Amino acid sequence: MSRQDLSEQITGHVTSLRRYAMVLTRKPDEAEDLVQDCLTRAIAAADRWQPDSDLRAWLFRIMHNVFIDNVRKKRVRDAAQSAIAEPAEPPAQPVRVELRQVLDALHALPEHYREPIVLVAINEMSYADAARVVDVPLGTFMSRLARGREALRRVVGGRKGPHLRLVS
Amino acid sequence: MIDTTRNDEVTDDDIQRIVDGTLDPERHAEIVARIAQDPERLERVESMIAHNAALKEAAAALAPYEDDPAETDPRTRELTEALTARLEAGIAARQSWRARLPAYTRNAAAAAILVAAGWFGHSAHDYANAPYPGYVADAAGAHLVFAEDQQYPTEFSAETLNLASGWFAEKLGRDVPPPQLDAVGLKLVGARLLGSKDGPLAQYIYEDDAGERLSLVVKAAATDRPRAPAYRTLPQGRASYWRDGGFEYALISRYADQSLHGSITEVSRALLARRI
Repeated sequence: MSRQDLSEQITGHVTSLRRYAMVLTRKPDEAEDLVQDCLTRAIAAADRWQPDSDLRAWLFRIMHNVFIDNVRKKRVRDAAQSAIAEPAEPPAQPVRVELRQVLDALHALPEHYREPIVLVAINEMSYADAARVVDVPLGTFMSRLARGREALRRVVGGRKGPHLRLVS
Repeated sequence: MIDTTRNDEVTDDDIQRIVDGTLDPERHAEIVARIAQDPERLERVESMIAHNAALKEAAAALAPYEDDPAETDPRTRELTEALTARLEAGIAARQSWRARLPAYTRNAAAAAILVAAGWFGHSAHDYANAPYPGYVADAAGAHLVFAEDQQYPTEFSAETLNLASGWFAEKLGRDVPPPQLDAVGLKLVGARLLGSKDGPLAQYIYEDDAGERLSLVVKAAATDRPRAPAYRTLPQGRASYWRDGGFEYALISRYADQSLHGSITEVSRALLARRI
């Protein structure tokens, strides 16, 4: 692999990581922080990456760990300042109201449901690869995906939007 | 109420695959036809498809600056460049490390065949002043070929290994419960059977917290006489081997540093203590 190839590959993966972080957090600053934490950890662990292995999966696995660590830290912080409500931040880029509703509903789900849904939806990652990213057996992953999607549907609720008809 | 009796052949997995479009066309049509019999279920699946599409669209809308370096956060750009440089250095170092190996080990497929043919055993003397068992060389070769593979390191995952226990027992000539090394911080990834000139070998692959992999190769011993652990540095990694309870063991790690030498010692002790 030439330096050019590797550089292009990594740049592409960083874009995927940023998208993933944006959908998970809905906040540009938080998403950028997640990406930067992920890259910092990847640099520290670079010696352990095997050149023949899947670079994208490796980076997403690190991103998953960073995300979970942040969720835990945030939980502690929130518990300490439970009286102060966090103001809702508008996203940097305007998104259609239907998309906003789905993003907000996604955000209401526990992270162990959120991650499988987003990994599969936006990265077009295979179930097996995504299961490895979140470090659970495939069966557990599939059940989280199913429950997460069902929960997302319930939260979005009676949203009236254009359905993709399976059967006409 | 959803009538589950009518659609009992449609599993949750089928539904996820319908949402992601990952079923083959025939099965897809069959499942869609079944789902369509239940308007409520149809509505649920259609919502899931719409939500999935919305997430894809939102991802593109939220991070529209894409690969344009001018639009990328300077710190992110800096880190991306640093990571590229580190990974590139790693590839270069590995290439020079690999260049010292015999040509056949550079190609995984060829190496797999050669493991089966026992060639690693023949080449053992290239690297060692004193002889050591052929199966240890086979174990080291198999570690190089399989253990570090992120995609398909094993034939049987830790979860499915129990299903294969009968087959493993038949090939190895006796029952071998998968050695559990959680106590020393090693999680079982899975296992496979290998052929060698000395007979069948079971290779168990483990991963520690940092993602480092070790493999433990087990074969039936010709004698019940135990042999104390011996250590050796091979081109493919650090090896420890011993005999106990009618089995020969070889533990291999690609990293020859002190901490892993320590964990090899720990594993040997744990296994010796348990007499798996």
